Amino acid sequence: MRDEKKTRAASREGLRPRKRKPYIGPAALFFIALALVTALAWCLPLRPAVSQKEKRELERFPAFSLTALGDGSYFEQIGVWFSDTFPGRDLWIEAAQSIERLHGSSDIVIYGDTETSQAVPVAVPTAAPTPEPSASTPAPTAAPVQTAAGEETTAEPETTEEPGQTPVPEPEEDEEPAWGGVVIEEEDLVTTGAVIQIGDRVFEYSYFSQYYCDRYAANMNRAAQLLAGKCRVFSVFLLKSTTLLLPRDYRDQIGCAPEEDILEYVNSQLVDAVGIDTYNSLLPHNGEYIYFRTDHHWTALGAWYVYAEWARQAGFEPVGLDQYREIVQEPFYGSLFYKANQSNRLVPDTVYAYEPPGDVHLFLELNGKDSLTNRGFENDLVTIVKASSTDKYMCFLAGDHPLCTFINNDITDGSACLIVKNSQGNPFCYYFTQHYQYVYVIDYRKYNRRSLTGFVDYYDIDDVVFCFSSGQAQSNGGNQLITQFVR
Amino acid sequence: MVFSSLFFLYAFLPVCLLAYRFCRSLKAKNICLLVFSLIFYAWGEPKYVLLLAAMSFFDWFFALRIAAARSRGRKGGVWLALASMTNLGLIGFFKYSGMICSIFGEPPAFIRSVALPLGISFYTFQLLTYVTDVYRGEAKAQRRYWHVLLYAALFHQCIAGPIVRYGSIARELFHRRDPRDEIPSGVLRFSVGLAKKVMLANPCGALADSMLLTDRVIGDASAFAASLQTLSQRSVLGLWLGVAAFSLQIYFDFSAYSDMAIGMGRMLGLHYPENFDHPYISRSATEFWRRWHMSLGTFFRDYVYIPLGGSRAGAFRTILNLLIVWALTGLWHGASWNFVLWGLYWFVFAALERLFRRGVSRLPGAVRIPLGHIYLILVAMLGWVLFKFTDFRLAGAVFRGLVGRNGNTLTDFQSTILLRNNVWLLCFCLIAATPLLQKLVWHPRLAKRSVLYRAAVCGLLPTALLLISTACLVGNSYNPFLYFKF
Repeated sequence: MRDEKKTRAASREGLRPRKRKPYIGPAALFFIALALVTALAWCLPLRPAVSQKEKRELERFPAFSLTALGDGSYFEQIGVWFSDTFPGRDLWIEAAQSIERLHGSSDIVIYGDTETSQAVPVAVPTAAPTPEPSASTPAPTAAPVQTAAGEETTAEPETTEEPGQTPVPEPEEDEEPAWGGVVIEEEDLVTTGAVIQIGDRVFEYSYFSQYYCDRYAANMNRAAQLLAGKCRVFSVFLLKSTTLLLPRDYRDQIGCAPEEDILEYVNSQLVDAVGIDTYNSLLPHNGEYIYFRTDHHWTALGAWYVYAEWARQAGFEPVGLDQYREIVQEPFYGSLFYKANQSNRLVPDTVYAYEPPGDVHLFLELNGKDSLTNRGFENDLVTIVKASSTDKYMCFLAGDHPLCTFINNDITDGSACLIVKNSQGNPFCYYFTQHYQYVYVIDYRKYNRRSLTGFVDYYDIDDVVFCFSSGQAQSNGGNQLITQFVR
Repeated sequence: MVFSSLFFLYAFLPVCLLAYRFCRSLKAKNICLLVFSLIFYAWGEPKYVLLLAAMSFFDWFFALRIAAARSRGRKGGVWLALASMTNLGLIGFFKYSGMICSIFGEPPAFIRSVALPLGISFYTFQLLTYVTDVYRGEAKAQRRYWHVLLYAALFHQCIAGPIVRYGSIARELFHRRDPRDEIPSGVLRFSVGLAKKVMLANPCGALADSMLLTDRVIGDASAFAASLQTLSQRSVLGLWLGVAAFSLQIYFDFSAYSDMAIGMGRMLGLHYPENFDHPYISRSATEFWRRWHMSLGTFFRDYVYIPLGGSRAGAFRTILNLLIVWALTGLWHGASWNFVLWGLYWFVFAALERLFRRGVSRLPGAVRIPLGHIYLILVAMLGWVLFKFTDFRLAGAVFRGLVGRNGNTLTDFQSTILLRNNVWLLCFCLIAATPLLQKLVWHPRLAKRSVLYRAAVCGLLPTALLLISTACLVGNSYNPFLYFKF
């Protein structure tokens, strides 16, 4: 009040009032930093739109709507956009990780929630065909969706044609009704649960579900029964890197289900299908680069060892890797890198791809629509992924497509193999080109034109190989789709 | 919007400070503050700005009626009663209707759809102090409505406190001068609060959630069985680790917000009351509550406990008054029975301490002091279990697990790893929860004498804390603020 009076008095006297200047002093440095970072934050061109490391699009500025404005989500999304696309985010995140390392003294970090797995029963070979999972089989907590597992319908007769040198065009109209229901788009469904970072690499926790393992085995057996007399059925049940690279007692300690026992259990349930011993194929080589450090997939080298075991069981002589042309691409940041919060302790991976020898061609069908001439279009055997992308795993089959076809013109006996796979099968299927004229690769999550029997009849398939990761084989979605396919 | 968000730090705050700086008169500065406060509030709760404005209007009106009654020689008790009923009725509807209805069964759909307005517990109490202070003659009724709205909506303390009594801030709010020397200390206080929240509370929160589950999971009735199983299987070490981390999180979270509010206030020449005074160094429940959320404790003391007769109306009445205050304290924290139980839990210890005060004081200091600290830490930590779990069965599983009665192991791999991964963080938090760090860093005499020291503590330190906090906030999705739900 006194100040105001003084000011008024000074004004009346025609004097300029003395202005009290606030003392900022050393805090000026803070305000300068605040101003500089604010200026940086509002440099919109510096805001990234995509995070290569995280393999995701960053938040976009939200679209305006009155509803969003009313419920507060519009402003909230602006805040998320502002934070997610902060200029120089990778550098800031790296700095934060360096600070986070000061929190403790361990080289091991667990991300996500771990769960207690079911105990794996002792494997007893089944003498009779495996029954469908019955009421006595313990069901998982979340009730599984009952599918048409028992509805074994005979596939409609289809014209058997000899595929030519290029992929045989698919019929214009689907001869069978398209599958409805669940479509798994992402690999996320495979890599559920927690991950554990040990030093410079990340491992997935492994779990066991007897219910889904039984369903998986039942599917393999039914496939073999449906195709009896036409072709052989192989089951390649892939294990996580955790199982091959960490000692058993350590895995017990951290609460991972023993996947070697799970594999043994699953294979013991197979009656008509042939189970490949993926564990013992890989175990002698677990000092080699058979799994990625930052990804849930195996490497092409790991895939080769399992292929070699398959070849021996199928009666082929495995073709050595020295016959292939090695193509190296890096850096590769896999899915586990993101799950481990992009820890800066992790070392990026290198992707080694092996291009098959001979006159081998690869044709891709992109969703059945955008392929050239509707025959699928030819693609490089190994795709050279652009340098800016860190997803170098895309070099195998150029990613996941409904149907890929390898044709080896050096083999002319009309032999054909069908590989039913998820993304784990991508580096695996290259090796089959040395034994068959045609190798058809179906991503069962995306392919929905024909049933298994329809496909085998149509393309005159000699051998069928199911290549599943343990996570996918024990998932509801994966089993549901494969149940729908195997008919 | 929370103070510890990048948008606040690098959009809202600089623009607000800049706009404020260019306002010449106090009136313009206050209008500027009001506009920014309403934007701040609307950012999180656009529709509930109207509720805030309406409640401020009612209290402005009732206070004027009280003043008018007083000028006619009456007390204006009717208007105070009306104001109290309006305020408590509205908070009752928005915050407690679901809880009250649940006594009689499933709450109706329209009750379930009512969302808790941001900061309603804080600004309702502030408005109550305004009307009550006018009624008591401790403050003058405001002629201008927007002044009352500014007091209630001021973004520094509107949504998370401290609860500022009208009488203690009115003079500064409407007759303040630009701060002369307080900007550096305000900046320091703000940046320390920011760092406490981002660098200590958030990692402690993540650690607590990994052992005790997230609030979302706890509140998900469909996941109850899984949650119960998870908690029952946690090792003894894991549960103690989780409880300790949660105890630290809630302290750093809330005190950090108060620090930031106090710091921003100082930058503008406003002095908000202290809200925390290192509560974990207390030796009794009573002392703990003198140091924890002091503005709430003061409110209940001045506006509930003393008007009820305090401790001067006999032992039974004193205990009853304490019971009422503690039940209300619990209820203030949330519309759930676990909060009521939590309040009563503290009441039991406060009452017991009163009963055995003399006996305890006879113990030698060498025994009493360390035992007091251990006692308080245990009481506080176990109390936070009641606070965190809205479902008593989950809380029960944690209590049993803490003493190994779930058949759970003493340690397990996950707990051991988590402990090793956070051992230095926890050690630092324990030190930061005592006055030790503050005493080590801040020397007022040295600050007056040494320019270099001032530059380091008031210039370099806040800048470094700001930049480190920014790094921790970029790409970090874990940034909850616990007291928002109150």
